[in-house]
This record gives sequence, C-alpha cells and structure tokens, in this order.
Amino acid sequence: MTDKAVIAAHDVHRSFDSGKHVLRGVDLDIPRGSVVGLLGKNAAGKSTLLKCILGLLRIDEGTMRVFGEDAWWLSAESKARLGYVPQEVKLYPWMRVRQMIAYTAAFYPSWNSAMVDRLVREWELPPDDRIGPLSVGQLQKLAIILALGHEPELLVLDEPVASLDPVARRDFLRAILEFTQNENRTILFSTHITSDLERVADRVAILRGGRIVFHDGLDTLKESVKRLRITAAEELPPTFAVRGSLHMEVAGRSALVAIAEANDRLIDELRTQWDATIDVEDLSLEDIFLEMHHVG
Amino acid sequence: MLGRQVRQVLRVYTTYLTFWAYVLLWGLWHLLYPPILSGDFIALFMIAFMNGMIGAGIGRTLGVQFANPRARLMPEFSTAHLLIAGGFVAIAVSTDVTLALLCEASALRVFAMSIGAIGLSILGTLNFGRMKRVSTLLWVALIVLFCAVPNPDESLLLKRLVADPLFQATFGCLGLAAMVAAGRQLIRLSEDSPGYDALDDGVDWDRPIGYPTSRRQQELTKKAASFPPNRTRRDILFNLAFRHMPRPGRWRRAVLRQVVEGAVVLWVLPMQTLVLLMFLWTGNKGSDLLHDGDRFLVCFVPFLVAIGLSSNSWTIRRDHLARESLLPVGRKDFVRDMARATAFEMWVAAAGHCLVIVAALALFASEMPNAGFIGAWLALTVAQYFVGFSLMSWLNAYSPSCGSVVAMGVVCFAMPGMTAAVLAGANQGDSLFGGTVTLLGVAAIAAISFGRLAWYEWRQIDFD
Repeated sequence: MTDKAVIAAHDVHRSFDSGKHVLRGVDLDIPRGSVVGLLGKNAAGKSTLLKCILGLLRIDEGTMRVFGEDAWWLSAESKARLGYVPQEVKLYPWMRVRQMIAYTAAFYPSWNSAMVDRLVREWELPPDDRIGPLSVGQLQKLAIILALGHEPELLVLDEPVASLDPVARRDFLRAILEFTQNENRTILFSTHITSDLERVADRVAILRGGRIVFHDGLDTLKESVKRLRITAAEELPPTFAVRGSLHMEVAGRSALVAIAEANDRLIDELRTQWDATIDVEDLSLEDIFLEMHHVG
Repeated sequence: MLGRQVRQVLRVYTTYLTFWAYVLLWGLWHLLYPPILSGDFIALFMIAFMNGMIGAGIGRTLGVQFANPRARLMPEFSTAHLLIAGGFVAIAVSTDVTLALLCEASALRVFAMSIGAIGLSILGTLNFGRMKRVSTLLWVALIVLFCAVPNPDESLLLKRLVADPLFQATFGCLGLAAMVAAGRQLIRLSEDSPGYDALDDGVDWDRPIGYPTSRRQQELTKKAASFPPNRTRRDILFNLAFRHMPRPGRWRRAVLRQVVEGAVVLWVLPMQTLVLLMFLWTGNKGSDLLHDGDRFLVCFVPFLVAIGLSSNSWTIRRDHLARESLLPVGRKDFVRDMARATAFEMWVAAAGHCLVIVAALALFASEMPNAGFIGAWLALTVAQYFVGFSLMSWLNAYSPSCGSVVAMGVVCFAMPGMTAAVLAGANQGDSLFGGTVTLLGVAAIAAISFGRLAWYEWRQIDFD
C-alpha cells in the first residue's frame, strides 16, 4: 500500500453461498484525491467490490484496507470520514426529508448544514415531504445529500446516477466536481454511463472476470487503447494476429483491430510486415469499454 | 452528541404503532401482576412469557434497524440503538422487580426470570431464520419433558427454578450473556449473516403513526408486486391447484393452501396444547379444572393463538398477493378465498383447543362437570377464536390505525374477561345459560362487525 492510498485492496477474493466466485484476486490501490470510475459489465462484481471496500461484506481471502484500517473492522473515526450511496436506497419512508437529514446529522461529529440546505434547495427536494412518496430519482438525490453532508474524505457511490434525469445528472456531476475541489477528497463510483465518468473521473478501473484488468488515468487509457484500420496489399491470412489486440475483425485485405497498448513501433511493424496502410483512430471511453468486452 | 443521537433514535422507535401496542399490553399485564405473583409455577411461566414477548419485540425492532448498510457505516449507530434497547430492558425489569418487592415476592426470582426471558428472547428472535428447526425440537423436547413429569410441583427443574437462588442467578446470567451475544451479533450483522433477508424485509413490517394509510397500501402493494418468485415449490403447486385442476372446491382449495404454505397451524397446535395443559394441569383439579387465578389466562389463550396464527398466515401470504390476484378468480372470490384459508386454520386451532379441554377434563378433573358447563366452555372458546379471526382480518387488511390497535387491546382483554366471569359464575351456582347466550351474542356481533370491516377493506385493496 502506498502512503497516499485511501483504499488498498490486495488479492481480494469473494464468493457467495451459491458457489459464484465473484472477485478472484482484486488488486486496487486508490490514491488520495482521485476520482475513480469503476467500470464493468452487469454482474461483474462492482457492487460486491464496493461493499467489500466498505466492510459491508467480508472478504474470503486477501487484504482490504480503508484509511489504513481493516475494512471489516472500521473504527467510528474512519466511518465519520466515509460517505456511501448504495444502489438501492433504504430510508425510513415515514420520515420527512428534513427529519431524515437531522437524524443522519446526529451521528456525525461535523455536518455542513449550509451546504445540505443549499443542495436541498437547488435539487428541488421538498423538505417537509415524507420520504415514502418521493420518486426514485428524488430518493437518490436525498441519499447523495446525506452522503455529502458530513463532507467525507472518501465518497463511494454505487451507480449514483442510474435513476436521475439528465438535469439531475448534470447537477449531480456539478456537485461532485465541487466536492473534489478539496484535494484530500477521494471518490470511487461505479456507473454504466461512461460519458458522465469521462466528465468527472481522472482514473478508471475496469473489472472483468473478477479482476481489475485496468486501473490508471483516464488519459492513459485513452492514449493506449486505439483502433487500427488496416488495409493490406494482399489478402490477410486466417492466422493474422496482432500483439495485444482486444478485438479483431478481418475481411479480405482489411482488418479492424482494437489494441490495448498502441505505439508507433507496433504500427510500423504492422505496416512493414503486411505492406499496409494503417489509420489510427481514437476511441471514446464507451468504445474502449465495448472493445475490452468484445462487443462489436 | 450522544444525547442528540439517543433523541433521534428514540423518535424512530416511538413512531411505530407496535411500540405503543406493546406499551399498552405491558401496562395491562402489570395490572394482573400482583395476584399472579402469589403462585409459583404459573407466576414463573407468565413472567417469562410476558418478558419473552418484550424481548421478541426489542429483538425484532433492533434486527430491522441494523439490517441496513447505513447501520454499519454510520459512526456510533450501534451505540445509540443498543443504549435505547438497554433502556427498554432496564425499565421492563426494574418495574417487575419493584412490583415483586411491593408484593413481598422474591425479587431475585422475578429479576432472574425477567432478564433471562428477555435476553434469550432477543437472541432467539434475531436468529429465528436459522433456528426454526432448533426451536421446533425445543418445543418437542418441552412437550416430552412436560408429559414425563407427573406433577410440576414435584419436578426437580421447576422446584429449583422456583426456590434455588443459585439456579435463578444462573438463569439470569444466561439471559445477560444472551443479550451480550445479541449485541455482538448486531454489531457484526452484514448481508452474509443468516436471516439477514428476513430482517431486511421487516422494514415494511411496522406501521408508523401518522403515516397515511393510502401511501402505506401503495408501498406494500409495490413490494408485493416486485417480490421475486423464489418460492418455487409454492408457485408451482399453486398454479397446479388453481389453474390446472378441474375447479377444486372452495374448502379443498383452503386445504391445498395449507399444503403449499407449510401448514403453520400444525406447528401451532403442539404449542397451544402445551400451554393449555400447563394451566389446566396445575388448576385446583376441581370439576372445572380452573383455579381462580388461571381462569382469565386460560380464556386468553384463544385470542393469543388467533392473533398469532392470523398474523403469521398474513405474513406468508402478503408477499404473494399481487401474483395470486392474477389467478383466474374474480376479486370477491379471491378475497373470500383468502378469508376462507385463515378461517380453516381457525377451525383447526379451535377444534384442537376443544379437544384439549375435553381430554384435560377427562384426565385431571376430580369429577366430570355437567354437559351444559362443558358445552358453554367449548362454545365460548370457539366464539373467541372467531372474534380474534375477524379482528385480525380487519387489522391485516392494510389499515391498522391507532383506533384499531386500541380496539384490539379492548377486545383481547374484554372477551376473555367476560368468558372467565361467566365460567366462574357457573361454578358459584349462577345461571350459565343466560351469561353464555349473552356473551355468544356479543361475540357474534363483534365477529360480524369486524368481518364486515375486513371485507370492505379487502375489496378496496389495489392489487396492481
């Protein structure tokens, strides 16, 4: 674990009673002050990983440390530095919005009432309404406000924008950007909406097959994963292969190849070997994700 | 800061209707307390029973509060909740002990029984999901033990529990240890814990005061509609019974429902038998088997069984309501079908109760009472089951309110009280016929009134 790592997961394994081995040796160090987007297909284990990080689920093997403490045995001091928005928000339906805020505030040593009030106002949450009749989106907004109220050093969000409309999503992203102005604050969030992730995250972690297959800066990912459009002088053989390819489609003299670590040397080699013209295309995060999961 | 947390948590607990129902029951129970304390065995049993109920309530509430990710992640959440729960336990136990001191009964015995029963009950409730088999075996063992002991007064175990301070202190310590274990379990509760899902479901279990009924109905219906069809055996059998059988008869459907749902009533019968035998066996063994102090308690059993059985059946059925309402029967027929299924259970429980009375009279009574007395006792018993059934059908129809809980409290104590009075009067030479007929009339009016209210409510339920 590096000194600055807020979350340090090493060789984390976790399986369920059904026999499903969801996490198969996850290694993930998240540095302080970073905004990390966790990507993965449905049932890849994103929620399980987030729950293990928060100590909501116990890991079978490996080590999981948050603020330097064992995640399962987090102290009250560490919990006061944590904020969490679950995928399924469970709050007392009979409480009014302001009562729920007061209830939550009572448990934290510091609470930024001014910020909470401002967010309630800006996000148009009715403070005197009961929680039960709130829509899923409003409930999600309230959960986010409750998680931000004590200004946590580490904010973990499990698909926070899934239920939000475009306006609310934009407001949420603005709040996240505002939140990260303090360089001590770290955010880890899972999402399927890659455009949102591109807007706020500076790092990306991709979970596949129970392991983190990529964890680095978003720019690094975009610079390293490219799509090559190859047009060879002669028909490409069935054995045509490119080192480090994620996905490949070959038809006659043409090939479309997504590669994980594109560099000039590799491209020159291909050009020379197949007497080909090669166009290098940049990919959006969504395209990278699709290529990594072999979806055409 | 702790004071602020405690105030907030206390508000959560006192918002629930069940909390006040418990307070009402607890208050009424303490009115009965002084005369009961004079007995030995019955006193012990009743103290254990009442405090066991309190423990179950506390255990259930704590479990529901802790089965939420917020519980693990909010700092000092456990401290505040456990402090409040500890406060409730302290109030319950200290009240019992104070009353024992005022009545010049053994304070140590009362303290040990109270704390022991509450502690074990909290732990048992938290683990009910994984202890079903254990508790069933425990009941069987208790029945065997009970039958093996010719006279409870001569039972070594009971004698020691009644008289031996060391034994009582051990029982009390067992309760304290159970409380500590329950606290540890709650602090460590996570999605992996056995029975977590059952506790998690309990979020919808209680009704808060002042929360609009219509909103609550919508929430429960939404929950019922989204309930995953994971009880495959039940679904398959139901579809088989309702869709593919050539129009099974109404009562046949009620029996089929029992098969599919696990025949809860068959599990209730041994418990009911045990409790009744315990009271009847330790009576004064006169012609009616009923000691003055026990008469009310015996007459209270039908309500206890009716309420427990109806609530349990309802809990089982509620989750499937939305899907079952899609079965090819009309709305009225569907509602009738649900009512008939619970009525069938009541008939079985009432019949079992009557059989135990007759058997106890034949076995333990010094002389057989006349047929009129037996008939009146049985008729009043059956009537109570059906008043309890109608009342619970109404309460279960999504609309419990303060008024209905008060009605439940009044009926629960008034009906057994009047029944006990009629039976006592008959014993002292009063006219049995007049009292029985009047009471049966009152019971019929109550059963019909609550039944109509339930019928009205059920027809309004939005199944979509």
